[in-house]
Amino acid sequence: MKYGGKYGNAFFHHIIRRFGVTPAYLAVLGLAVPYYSVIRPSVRKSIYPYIERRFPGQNAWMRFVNSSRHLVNFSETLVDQAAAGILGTQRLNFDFPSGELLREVSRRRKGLVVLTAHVGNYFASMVMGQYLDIPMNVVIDTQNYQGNHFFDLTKEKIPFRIIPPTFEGLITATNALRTGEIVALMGDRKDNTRTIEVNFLGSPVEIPATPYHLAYATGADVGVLLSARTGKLHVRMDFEVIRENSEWQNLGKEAAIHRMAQAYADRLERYVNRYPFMWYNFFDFWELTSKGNK
Amino acid sequence: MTLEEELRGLLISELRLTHIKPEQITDDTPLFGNGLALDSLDAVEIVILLGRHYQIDTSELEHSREAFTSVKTLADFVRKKKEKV
Repeated sequence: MKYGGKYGNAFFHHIIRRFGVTPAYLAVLGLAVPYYSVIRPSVRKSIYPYIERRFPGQNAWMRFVNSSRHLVNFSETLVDQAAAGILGTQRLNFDFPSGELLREVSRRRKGLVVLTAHVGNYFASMVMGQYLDIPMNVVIDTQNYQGNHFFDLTKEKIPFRIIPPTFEGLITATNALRTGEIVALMGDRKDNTRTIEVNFLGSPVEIPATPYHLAYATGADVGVLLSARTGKLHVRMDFEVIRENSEWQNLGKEAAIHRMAQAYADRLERYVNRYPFMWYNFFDFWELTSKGNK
Repeated sequence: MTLEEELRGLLISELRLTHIKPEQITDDTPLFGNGLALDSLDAVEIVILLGRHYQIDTSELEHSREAFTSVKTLADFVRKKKEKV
């Protein structure tokens, strides 16, 4: 799904720089959302596989309304991400009730795999690295990340080490976990490595197996960090531990990995039930490719 | 037992390559691609097993992909690290 484009993004970034955030919200609501909702409906329709499962039984009109609401939320989130990059991350307001839990778990220095998702203002959640005592690494492809509205714009020192999703990057992530560091990964978008099948919103999906293999191999704890946009430049973040003290290790590798992956999918499902218009995977997440486990 | 033989046994047991016998892996059999067809997640397990069995610093492997080429290159890496200790 292509949303924005070079000149479109430059236009909205100019509005943020020249006039501020609120005019940028108005511009995306008046221009981008109608364009992608009506003139180029393929973008809006790319949300349907999710919308149909999140709101089963809805009629065509409600599907149009809900997918348009999704676009509105996504557009506002992109404005917030760009504003954080252009105006500085200090403009973001965080509400993080479970922040102390994240700090506490990371201080154990057992290695911590932090699973995130394309939910809410997910780039903002990475900024949390600056509030942690333990080095944080983020596995992300910054070169090819579509909708990269933060990294392209920020002039701030990134408060974490970026690890590319490559063979060498995976070795770097392994060593980071072995030395007790934090490694954050997106858990809801397939990569070129193995996948694992879990249930999500009532149907099987494939999610990347890499985070769970890393956790199992290194004995790291596993947590889920999700974020929601709760207002203008406001981000709520929620952290939850899904495995600690090498729990499930005695089940054997495949069972332990599946248990962790399903626990992640359950937390993500709970989150999209709570924030239904903030999950930004614009493709058929339920299409199985059966890359499978090994 | 040579280091190469020991590594062959470790790869088979730790990576659960139950369909392969140690004698099917030569010192030069490629670990990835056309050889044993391992992938990057297997490389993660190799890093862990090297650290655990030989108590060596594996951070250098981040820039030494060639060390993962074969049993021989892995053994060379272990020897080099052991010499440094």
